[in-house]
Amino acid sequence: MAELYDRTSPLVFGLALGITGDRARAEEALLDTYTHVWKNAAACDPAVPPLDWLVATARDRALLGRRRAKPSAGASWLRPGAPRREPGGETGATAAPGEQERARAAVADLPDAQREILVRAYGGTPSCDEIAARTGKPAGAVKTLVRLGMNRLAEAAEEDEVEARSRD
Amino acid sequence: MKHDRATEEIRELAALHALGALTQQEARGFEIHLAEGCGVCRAQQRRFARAAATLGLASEERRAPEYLRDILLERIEREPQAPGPGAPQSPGPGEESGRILEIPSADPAPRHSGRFLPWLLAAVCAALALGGAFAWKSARTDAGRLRAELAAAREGAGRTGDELRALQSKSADLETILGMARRQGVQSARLVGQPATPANSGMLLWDAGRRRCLVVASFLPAPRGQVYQLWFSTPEARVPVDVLEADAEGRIFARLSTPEGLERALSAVVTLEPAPGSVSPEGPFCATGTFR
Repeated sequence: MAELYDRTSPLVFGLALGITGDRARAEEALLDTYTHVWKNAAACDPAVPPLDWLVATARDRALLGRRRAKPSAGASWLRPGAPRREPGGETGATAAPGEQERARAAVADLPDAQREILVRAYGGTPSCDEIAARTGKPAGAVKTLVRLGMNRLAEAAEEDEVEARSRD
Repeated sequence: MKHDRATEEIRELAALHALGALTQQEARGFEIHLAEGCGVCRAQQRRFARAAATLGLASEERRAPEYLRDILLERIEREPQAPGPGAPQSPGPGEESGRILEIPSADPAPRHSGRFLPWLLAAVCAALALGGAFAWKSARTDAGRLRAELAAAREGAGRTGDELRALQSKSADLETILGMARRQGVQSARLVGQPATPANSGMLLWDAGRRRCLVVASFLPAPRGQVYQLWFSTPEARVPVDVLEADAEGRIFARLSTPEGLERALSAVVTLEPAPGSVSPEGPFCATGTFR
């Protein structure tokens, strides 16, 4: 567990901090995430890649924290093009550098409208109707943008998998 | 009804589900459909779950405070791992996938089959050497008796181990409760069940200065899809504190952080809310207590 924590906590903490917008809540979410992973390691679906499971757990815990605390300034967890590490210092070990870079590239390649909607939805805006109300777009258009954006990300993940398999 | 191909509608539903952007009713309907075994929708659900993970993986990395690592390692020492349907297959979370993680998995299930075979063979051989049916029967009976005794002894040892672990856990819990109760300025509230849930009861300790709260309670297990949520009532509002996680029998032992700036509250209220919790109390009151 210590090794897992050392390798992945910068990713988990960054995600939790971005979603909750509050350090105390992010710290709670981080502890809850790893405790949940520890307790339920044997029960997790073997079809789900472990890092995906960890990230999904971290997101759930952070969203729970976000509901209890007012976020500082909306979803700040994802800013394609912005520095990925703490200014002035290294974050230590990285979970899966290649996979994270590919994920960032895939998100950065999304058209702005799709990325904006996905960022809001992933960061915890609970429904398409609410996203529609906040962005001024019709709910049907929001759903279409979600589908198109998610489809692009899924295709990018599939291409990465094919590439990884051909390398092996 | 199972689908034979992925339509745009299915993709949209699966994409929204992966982001948690469906209504509760829509999400439940989709999950029931998945549980019915629609392979097309299951494939889309997995596909978009990966897409959602891509969004998480794209997060900025931030260094967590050093002390969290110590707290976590201390915490998991006391947390038992839930038994799974079996050790995860590759690449399971307890195994090195060659690229990402290493999560300790639960101990493999003890293997019983075949363990008694040598004994049985020895017994049969002994019986044959004696050349008498009576001896064979007697040996078989002995082997059976030995097997039963061994199984009983093993079961007893397992029970003793479980009891010891439970006692150690209770002792540590008690130390936590006493440690907090001794601190100056700690307020307490006795949680009392409400008309709908009269059997619920518990105790709450709150250290407002340190923003720490401890809840020890015994509640009816929450219905599926719902969670117990704790709120503090102030003269102005009901402030959400946290969700109370109960074990299968409804026992709760929760150490929580209270919201920043919350220094005074009149009472504590526990409600039943849709998972994973609500922003304001909407469900029925399940227990309440006044701070002293």
